[in-house]
Amino acid sequence: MVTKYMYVVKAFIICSLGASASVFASDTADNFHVSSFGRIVAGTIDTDKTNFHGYDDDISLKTNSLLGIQLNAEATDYLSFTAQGVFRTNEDKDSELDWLYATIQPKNNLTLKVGKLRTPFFMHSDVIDVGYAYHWASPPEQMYGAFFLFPTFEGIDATWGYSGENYDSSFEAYVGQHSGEIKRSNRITDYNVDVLSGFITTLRKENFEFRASFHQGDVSLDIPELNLLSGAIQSFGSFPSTVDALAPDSKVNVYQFGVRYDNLDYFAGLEWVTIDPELKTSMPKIDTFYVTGGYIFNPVTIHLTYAESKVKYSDFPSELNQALAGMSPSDPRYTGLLQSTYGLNFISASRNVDSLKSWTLGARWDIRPKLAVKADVTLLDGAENETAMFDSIKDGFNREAMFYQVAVEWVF
Amino acid sequence: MITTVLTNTTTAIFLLAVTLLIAPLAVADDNRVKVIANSNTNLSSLSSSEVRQIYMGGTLSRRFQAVTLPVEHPLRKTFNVSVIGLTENRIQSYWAQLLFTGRSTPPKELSSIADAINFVIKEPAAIAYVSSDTLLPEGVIVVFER
Repeated sequence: MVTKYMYVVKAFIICSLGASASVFASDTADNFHVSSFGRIVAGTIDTDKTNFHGYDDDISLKTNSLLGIQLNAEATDYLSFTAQGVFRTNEDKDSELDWLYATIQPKNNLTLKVGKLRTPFFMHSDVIDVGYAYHWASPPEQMYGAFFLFPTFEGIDATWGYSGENYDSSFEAYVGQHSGEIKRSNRITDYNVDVLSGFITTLRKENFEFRASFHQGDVSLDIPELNLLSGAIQSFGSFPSTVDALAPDSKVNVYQFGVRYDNLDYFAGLEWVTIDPELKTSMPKIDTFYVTGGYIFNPVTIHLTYAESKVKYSDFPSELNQALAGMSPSDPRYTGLLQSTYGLNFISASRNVDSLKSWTLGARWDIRPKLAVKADVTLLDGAENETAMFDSIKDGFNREAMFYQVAVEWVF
Repeated sequence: MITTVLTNTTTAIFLLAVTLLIAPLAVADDNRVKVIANSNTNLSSLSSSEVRQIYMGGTLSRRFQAVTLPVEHPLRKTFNVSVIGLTENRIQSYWAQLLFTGRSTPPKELSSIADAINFVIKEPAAIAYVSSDTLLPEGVIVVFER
């Protein structure tokens, strides 16, 4: 029902934008705006024993380069339509409309958006593709590259603003749904978020900006192996805790807090995030933060960032092992249960444990307004017995690598 | 003779002192701006925080039509430094965030102070910044000075 409704909303927004575009073409309509952003990012790592978010020891331009176009049509003072399409050079990421929504402003301090929207998880989540908006070549991967964050959703977002003599604040709430896929280690896992919702509050006072948010989603992963194993275990007896732990769906809670200080000479910021699934056997709990700061030798900014993530799964219940301990090997269920424990051990061992520490030293040169060049060098430091956000790991890789990025960013 | 030298020296020192005193004042005067609004507005004054909120896409910006000058205009730099407190580059990247998330649109850019004043006279919700020595016509009021 929701999906059907969203199709109607999307069709209406596209028709409205088309109508406005034709007005623009035939007349000098002041209420139709075209904006664009783009980035060319070259990156590489210093080892051939792994990949890191699509980068290997060859210099790649395709992984994160993109071009975005935004069309905005103001129908009335209170109603406008926006579409934002992103064309990516990365074949693993789809080029698509990331934003397609109608904006309704019934009051000066209330904004409603309906349609397809970027999920406003963290401070830079909804502008992750607009590299010109932040100082790094890419924000800390531990937070912004977490593999099961939902980049967009289809639904409704309401923002209410309030300003005092010395501050400005906003309260934002959204609800919607999303489905997508996770690509990792040559495997694609489909997932669905039936109900995704969140609440965000911001406060700006003098040179400070504070942001705190809470997000929640009912996430279902499509992992047939979990269902198969769960079915097999149930055929050997009643093991409710283990069956529950193999459920491929869970409510996921996300907590975020961030602060940033800016002045003419320097800036500093930190952001802290906890991603906490209620069932932590298939999806891990992730605690991650970064601290960043920079000095402005206008037009060049030099910055330093430390980022860290800690990833933790729950162990599977021990009831299968307890049952085996009290069971004779001649019992017809014994072999099946034993193999089931091997299955659980295999799942435990193959889960990605993406704890990672990193230091990034970077420079941003604002050549002129709306055009910047960046260069970042990042030391990635993971634990040897974990995946540490690396992919396609070969034997002998010690989970340490240097990650180099150069980017050209523009908006117009 | 000595008296003449002393007198000349004293005069020179006095002139130098006056020059040194006046020069910063003259520079300081160039660094002053005032923010103007339509005289029909019910607004009497704005705090520096409110001006900043209006020019940085805060909640208050919905009630006003902020007007700015081109990037290369020296008064824009003065306004950025003395009122907003950020560099042009930082302001531009901040606006990229607001624009491409649909939160707000940047101030309207007009080519000169005269155009800005004329716009404020015509538009009841407009506000603009002008240099402190600008002679203002009827139809506009000063709501903030720095």
